[in-house]
Amino acid sequence: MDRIRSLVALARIRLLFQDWVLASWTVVSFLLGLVLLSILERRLLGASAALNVPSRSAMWLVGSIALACGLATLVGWLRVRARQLTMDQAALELDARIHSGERFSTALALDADDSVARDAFARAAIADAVAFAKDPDLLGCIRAVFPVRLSDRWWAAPALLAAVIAAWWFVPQRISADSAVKAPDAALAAERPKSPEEKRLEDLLKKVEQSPELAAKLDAELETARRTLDEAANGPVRSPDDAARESLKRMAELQERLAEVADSKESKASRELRDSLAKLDLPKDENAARDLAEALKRGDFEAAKKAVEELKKAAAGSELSKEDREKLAKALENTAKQLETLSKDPAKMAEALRSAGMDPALANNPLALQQAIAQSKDLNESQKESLQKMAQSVKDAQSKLGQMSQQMDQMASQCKSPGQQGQQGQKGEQGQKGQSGEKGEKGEKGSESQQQSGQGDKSGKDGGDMSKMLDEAESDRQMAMAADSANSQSQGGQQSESMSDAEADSALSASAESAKNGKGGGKKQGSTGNRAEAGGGDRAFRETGFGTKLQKEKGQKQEGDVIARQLVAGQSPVGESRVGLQEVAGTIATGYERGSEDDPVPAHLRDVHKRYFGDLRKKFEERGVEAAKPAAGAPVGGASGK
Amino acid sequence: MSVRSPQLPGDIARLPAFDAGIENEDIARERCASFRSVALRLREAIGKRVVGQQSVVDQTLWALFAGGHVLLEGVPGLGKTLLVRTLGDALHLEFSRIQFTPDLMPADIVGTQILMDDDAGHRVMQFRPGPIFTQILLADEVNRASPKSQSALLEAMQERSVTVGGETHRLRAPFLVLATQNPIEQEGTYPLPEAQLDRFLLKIAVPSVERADLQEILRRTTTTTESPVTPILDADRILQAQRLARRIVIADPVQDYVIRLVLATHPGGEYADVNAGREISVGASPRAAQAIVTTAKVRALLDGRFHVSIADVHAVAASALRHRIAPSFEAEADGIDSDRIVSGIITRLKRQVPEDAQ
Repeated sequence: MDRIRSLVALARIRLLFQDWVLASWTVVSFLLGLVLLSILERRLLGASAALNVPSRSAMWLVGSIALACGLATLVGWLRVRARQLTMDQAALELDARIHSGERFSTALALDADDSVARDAFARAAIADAVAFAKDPDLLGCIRAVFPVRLSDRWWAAPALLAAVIAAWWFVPQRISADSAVKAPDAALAAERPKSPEEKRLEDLLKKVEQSPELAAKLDAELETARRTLDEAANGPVRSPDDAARESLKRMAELQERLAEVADSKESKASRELRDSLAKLDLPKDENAARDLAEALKRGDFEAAKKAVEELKKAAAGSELSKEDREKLAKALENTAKQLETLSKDPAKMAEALRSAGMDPALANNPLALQQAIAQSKDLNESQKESLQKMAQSVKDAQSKLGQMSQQMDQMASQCKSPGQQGQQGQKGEQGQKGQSGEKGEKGEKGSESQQQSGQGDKSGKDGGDMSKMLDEAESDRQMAMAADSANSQSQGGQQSESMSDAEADSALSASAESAKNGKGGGKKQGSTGNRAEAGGGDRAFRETGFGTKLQKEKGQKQEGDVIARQLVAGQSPVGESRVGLQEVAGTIATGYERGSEDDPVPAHLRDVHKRYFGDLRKKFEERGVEAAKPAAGAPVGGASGK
Repeated sequence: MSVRSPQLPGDIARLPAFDAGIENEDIARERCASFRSVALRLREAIGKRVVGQQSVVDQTLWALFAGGHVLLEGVPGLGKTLLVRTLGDALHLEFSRIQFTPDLMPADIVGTQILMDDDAGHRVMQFRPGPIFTQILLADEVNRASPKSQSALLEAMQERSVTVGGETHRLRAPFLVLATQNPIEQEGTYPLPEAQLDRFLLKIAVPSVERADLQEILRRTTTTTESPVTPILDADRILQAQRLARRIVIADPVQDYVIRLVLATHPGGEYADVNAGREISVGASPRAAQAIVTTAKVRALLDGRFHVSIADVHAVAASALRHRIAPSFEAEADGIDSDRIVSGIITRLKRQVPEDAQ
């Protein structure tokens, strides 16, 4: 029986091995076919760039073949595992192939069954099988009937392997239209020098991103601008003009938003505050109060905050003598008085009202001012809105000045009598009294404090409130300055192409001035805008505070027959023409004169031509003059010859 | 009905019983060898009269030693009756022949009770056995009799007994029915019902003779010489042979193959052949599996083996299954008969147990 078992085991192993070989060979053929198709696809269809696979990488080829072989081996092994060929099944297969009349399968089955094995016929059957198995030729016969060989299509895998190597080696990389566009994109984009517009946009982005507050406000525009720059650098190849046009568009959008930020209530209030603080007189004594006043005068709220901290330490400590304390308190009281005076100074508002043709006395009465602005017939809506904004910003700035004054007064009191925390509370009471009719000085302060910001009931936190207020002021200042700076820089950059540095500085200051929007009169702003336009020509337009608006007129379509068409290479430019009307007229007239000389015009038509074109030129000149006149005094973006 | 009682040849008479005292494999080999030699002599004896048709003779002998009945189907003149008659001559058994006709009554087959005077002068009902009371019965053109008469064979074939007038009469063993039918002349015939067909162990298709065989037939039958056939086996020997054949072993894989073969004929079954649903209306019964195994054992024994092989199964499958499978209308319309169906199933049936059935 051992002989039978070994023969059956041999048959089983060869059967499984054959299965493994066939399955693996089939799979490896299939996978090599895929590799071949992949190579051909990459080479002939030019898909390698898209797949980012080196088309002639030997490592890729070897790796692919090795992977195919590995997968084939694995699949073959899985196939063998899945078949689960038992010894009984192998014996049946062996019996069938060597035509042994099921001797081996019967012998194995009977040998495994003890009850059957005691039967004489069963033993005889087993003995027959054993005798049959003793045939020395049987081993060779089993090897013959259980061959381990490849299938009839064994040549497929070597042929495919050869084809893979040949394709890899000999088929050239085809540069398809797609890949021709895509592959060199990066290289061309890298090689192409950046246009001045792109550089300016980059600079503007960097500038804006320096201020986190400003960057947060302009997040969407910054993202769009970054994408534009990225596409210009890595995207499909564009003409320099296209890239410059895109950059200009993004820059215009950014400038518009920067102008909005610069024109916002917070920015205006911050400017007003700094302007007012610039008028502070500094204390004579060199102490912390002078440092605070100096910082406020400079508009450096960060330094002012540090000075406040030092003041708090000095007031709370015992290093200062009584005299020093009194001097310090006096200086603080003096500064507080100045701030209070500034908070009630109606000069700025009066000046603005005067510029707008309104009664300056309205600056003393905010309620009447609001009504007067609303009911004014001389002002258009834009001007009304601008005046209201300005009034609000002045009011906000004065409110902050008042708060600073109050806080400083409290700090002065604390310096005088350190450790008495109840004084602020008394001031709060005094504030209440003032509100109820007592016209005392401190009462008024307390009343304002309660009305404006409700600080009266927080009198114990004067140092902290001052710091918080200075923090807010510093934040507003930084955002306003960043917006102004970025806006001025971008506009200055545009101008610098055609202007000297001095002119650019002048335009920068003019731009900054115009961004303040309303400080000067209409005349001043108009001349500023004119300068900017004359210098740069294509800077972004924005509304002035006086309502001059740009309007795009829709051209009338002439319904006549089309007598000529001109093919223009490239993308048709779309947008607003900014060619001067005089230039157009000059070109037409010159063309007429040259045409009249070169091409004979019928005699009876010469007068008609001369009269028509001559009149046209005159009319253009007249229109040009008419257009130029208001442009001279027009604000930024005035009509430039439509 | 004729009773033959010739003496068996001396050497055969001296042989020990085929199934006696088989305690070890040597005795088994000896018994099997002696049986095989006797069977070969029987085969040669039949061959003296029946020319050609060797396959039919072999299958008839398988059925004889397997203890089953045979339905011989073939056109007239192919030697069916001669075969059965020769078999009757070669075996020391009682032999009867019934020519089935439409007016044949059951009593003509099983016998009847008649009123007779006994020795005392009294009238008594006495059973007069019919021709079925024999050991080899030739039911010639069995499909010409009415179903009522055909059914008279049912009990005899299955139970080996006959009940007449409330009395059951046992038939002598061995009892072998060899029925013939003509597949061509269907006019005025009564096809055997499935239940009766199932009683036949094998249905043997008798083919036309070859040219050489026909020459030999002419030579033998158109002269005055007649080949005498001496009895080779008697009833005891045949019963011993039947018991001996049943001791042949069949391994589980082979038996499982037989089971799957039978189940493959069941349309809609778990192991049904792919074409079973289209070609078969009714599949083979478990009696088919019994028939295959018992017949395959005889074949293995005659082949000198002690175990059944799948080749044995294949050899007997057609005869054992062709009358147990009812081809569908679609198959009959396509000209697909039972033999083709069985052949197709055998071709498609895997020797190994399907992996999903393990």
